[in-house]
Amino acid sequence: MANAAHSLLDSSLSHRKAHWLLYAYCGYLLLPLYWLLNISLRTNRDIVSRLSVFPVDATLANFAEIFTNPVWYEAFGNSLTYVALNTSISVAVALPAAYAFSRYRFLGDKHLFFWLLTNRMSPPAVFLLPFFQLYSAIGIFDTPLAVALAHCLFTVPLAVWILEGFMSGVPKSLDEMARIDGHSTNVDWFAKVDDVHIGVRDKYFSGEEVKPERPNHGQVTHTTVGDHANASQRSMHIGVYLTPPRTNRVGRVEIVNDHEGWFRDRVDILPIIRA
Amino acid sequence: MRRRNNRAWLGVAPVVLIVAFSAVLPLMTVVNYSIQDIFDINTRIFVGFDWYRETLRDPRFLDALLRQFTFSATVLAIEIPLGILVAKSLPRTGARTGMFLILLAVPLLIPWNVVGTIWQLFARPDIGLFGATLTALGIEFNYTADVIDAWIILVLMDVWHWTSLVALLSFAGLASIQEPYYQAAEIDGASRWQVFRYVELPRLRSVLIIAVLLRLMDSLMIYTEPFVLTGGGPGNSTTFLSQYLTTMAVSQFDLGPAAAFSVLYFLLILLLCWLFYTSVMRSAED
Amino acid sequence: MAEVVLEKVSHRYPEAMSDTFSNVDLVIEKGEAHALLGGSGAGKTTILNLLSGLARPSSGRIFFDGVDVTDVPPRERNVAQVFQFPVLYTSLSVAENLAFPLKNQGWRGDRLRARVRDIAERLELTDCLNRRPDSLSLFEKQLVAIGRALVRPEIALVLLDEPLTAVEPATKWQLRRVLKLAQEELNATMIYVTHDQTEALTFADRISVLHEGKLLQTGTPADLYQAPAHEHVAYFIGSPGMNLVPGEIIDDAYRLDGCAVAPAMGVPSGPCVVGFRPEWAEVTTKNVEGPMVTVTRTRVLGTRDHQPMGIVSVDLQGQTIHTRQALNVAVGATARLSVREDRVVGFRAGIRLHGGLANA
Repeated sequence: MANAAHSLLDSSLSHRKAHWLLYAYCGYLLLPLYWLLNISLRTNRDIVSRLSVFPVDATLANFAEIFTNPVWYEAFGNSLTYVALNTSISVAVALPAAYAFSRYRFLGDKHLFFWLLTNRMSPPAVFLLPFFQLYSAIGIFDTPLAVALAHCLFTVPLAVWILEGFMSGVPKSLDEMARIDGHSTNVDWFAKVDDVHIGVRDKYFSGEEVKPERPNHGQVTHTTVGDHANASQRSMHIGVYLTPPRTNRVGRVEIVNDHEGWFRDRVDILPIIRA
Repeated sequence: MRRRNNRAWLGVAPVVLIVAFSAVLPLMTVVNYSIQDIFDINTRIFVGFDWYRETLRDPRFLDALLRQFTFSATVLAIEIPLGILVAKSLPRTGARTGMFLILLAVPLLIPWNVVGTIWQLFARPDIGLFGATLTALGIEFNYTADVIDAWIILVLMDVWHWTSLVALLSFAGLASIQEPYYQAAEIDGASRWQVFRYVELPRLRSVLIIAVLLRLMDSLMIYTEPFVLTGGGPGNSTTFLSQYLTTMAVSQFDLGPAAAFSVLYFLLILLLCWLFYTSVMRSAED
Repeated sequence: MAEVVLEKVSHRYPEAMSDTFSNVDLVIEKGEAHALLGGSGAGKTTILNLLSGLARPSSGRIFFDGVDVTDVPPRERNVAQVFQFPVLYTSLSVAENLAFPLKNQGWRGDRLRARVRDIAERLELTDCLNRRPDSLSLFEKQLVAIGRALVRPEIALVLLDEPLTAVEPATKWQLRRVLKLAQEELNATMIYVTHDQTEALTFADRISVLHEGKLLQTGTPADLYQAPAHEHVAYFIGSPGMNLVPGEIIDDAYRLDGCAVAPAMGVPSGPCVVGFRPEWAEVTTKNVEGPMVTVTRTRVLGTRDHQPMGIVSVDLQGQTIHTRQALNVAVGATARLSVREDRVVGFRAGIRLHGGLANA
């Protein structure tokens, strides 16, 4: 259904302008990446000797170099190591914290959460100095573990923030809709408001027709209706209170019982259907 | 509802420990150094706020500060509107949407020094497509020699790198607007600008706050990309705060002033973010 | 407000295999409250989109007061629409929301303020005028949406797409009341789409029942209740709906299980579906004419003169039939089913047969 109407509405920019902008931007994103690919497929000599938009003598020699020369692939190994360390530490540490933040309130929780986020705002350059000294002092200087721990400064707050968001993600409770209407009763199709013949069916009420005397402007009238369906067989007064005053087409009948305020109920009045 | 339970601190303890180790300890060290003059391990003199005063009067610091503000303001002014425009021009649904989103995400996933390298290869006047094309068109372009060229290429690189973040966040915000809002505006006779202002912008607001905050913070901290691309040159013209601090700390071993600089730097970022955040929150109340 | 005419309107979605609906002819009078009643997928929302101009019919024409508007875009048709959930401008106050459509038409100053205040009073929103939408309840928000639909005096018609969906059950009736009042006082042509018969029957002057892309019947609530033109209408309206029992017409009488239940003058003999509402039938152990049935269930609904009343469900050759009567039969008992002769409606191939039917 949404698609049919959507095609008629220009909810985005006008189509031609939008297309132009989007493709231009995509070109802007792709061009440097393409150039990277181009250069990567050519030898150094080829690159410096001439400028060619397409890699005419394409070769995979550079990639082979990466995988065979230890200078290159060791770097990958180092990166993978410290990333694995950092990820496991961050997640292991962030999970219980996120759980605590989302499920419990405790002393200082808001302040702690905020402090964690401010660490994301710290410029890494500030920590250069102290990290030198700190990690040297502990003796893990120049190891992947040191890098992993150092990065925890940024990754842990982010992990806590994101995980907490997921854990406490409760769909916005539509409280109004979840509330259950107390007694919903069926109105007999024989309800006729202007003659005020109201036949009301409900397991507590009889099906007797009720005739209030002057049904307008919210006046309450009383009529004896009938007996309760259970053994006690008490008679009760039913007040029929028509609201709103200005219309006699639809409204609500409030049925009160002035014996111990037992039943309060509201019933829709439907238009005239003859029996 | 969340129950009150102070034993939840056990769950939070590991995080506190790790971050305290990674952040609090070093920061304390920095603050400590910033108020002392250190000659060697055993000789230290308490100097109070001397280093702070010196830093704030240092013309090189003030230059770097000015450059930093200029840079951050420029990239924010481009990335935010451009990101919103790109988000608006994306098709809301359909097969191609996923494809575009992936393409948009690619620059965000590239290691930052690689971003610098990519743009180096792209912008060099001898082997770069961009550089060489401009030269062939008769426009002199050399970002290692010319200050304006260096700034242009830095801004182009940062926009290339980060606009997608704004675009993706904005797209998520826009995609949450259900069709009837547009239909009702159409029926009300709203112009396209009115649709943007009254239907789209309110939804984008919370998303944009996050986007601006992130971009503000990260652009103030920028180090790797300009370092790789221009190395801070030509001369000092693209040396921003992070690089200046790093140079100070690493090559000169002047611990006191470097520490003071660090503290000021950190406080500056906190201050700007706080100012932005509170002014935005306050405007929400009226 | 305008009279709306749909002339042989068909619609098919671009990728659809068949028409959503075809050849619909409908006339809605000026100032009429009209309901489009049907289950999901019956095409009701599509008709709304055609009327508002958000969709174009594949064939057929649409007229407002005799003017062909089929090719006119939404903003020039002067229609207003209320959706299933409150669609408001969240950054504007209630008063500004109400003023929005008027401002785009060039209204200004006192004239604008007076109109906004007038509509707000009618909908009992005067206290909310300066508040923002997010401080209102769902009910109040939908009222504002209705207000925005009614605020332009020159609108041709108001379309409502299941407007009570988002409102909590306890306050649905209030919204209906306000809506009905506004409709009567402003003499607005309102077209109300719903799947709920209570909403349709309490709101509308006339109702069109839609089923699987076909307009089955258009009529007043009484017409639909007593003289349904189609089996589906008979089944859908009423709670429980009409009993529809396979039977036959033989010798000018409707027969169930061979027993005559009602005369069927002037109707060709043959198999048919015999329809009668629960309140028009009775199951009794007395010796009356009528088919034999077995009582399967009784459900108490109330008492009358100390006698429990309710719904009795019986089985007639595998068919379940409901009656509404005094509960004077026991479950498992065999009894006879008697039906009020003048209330039986016969159907063949889904269509109501003429002759031998409830009063028109």
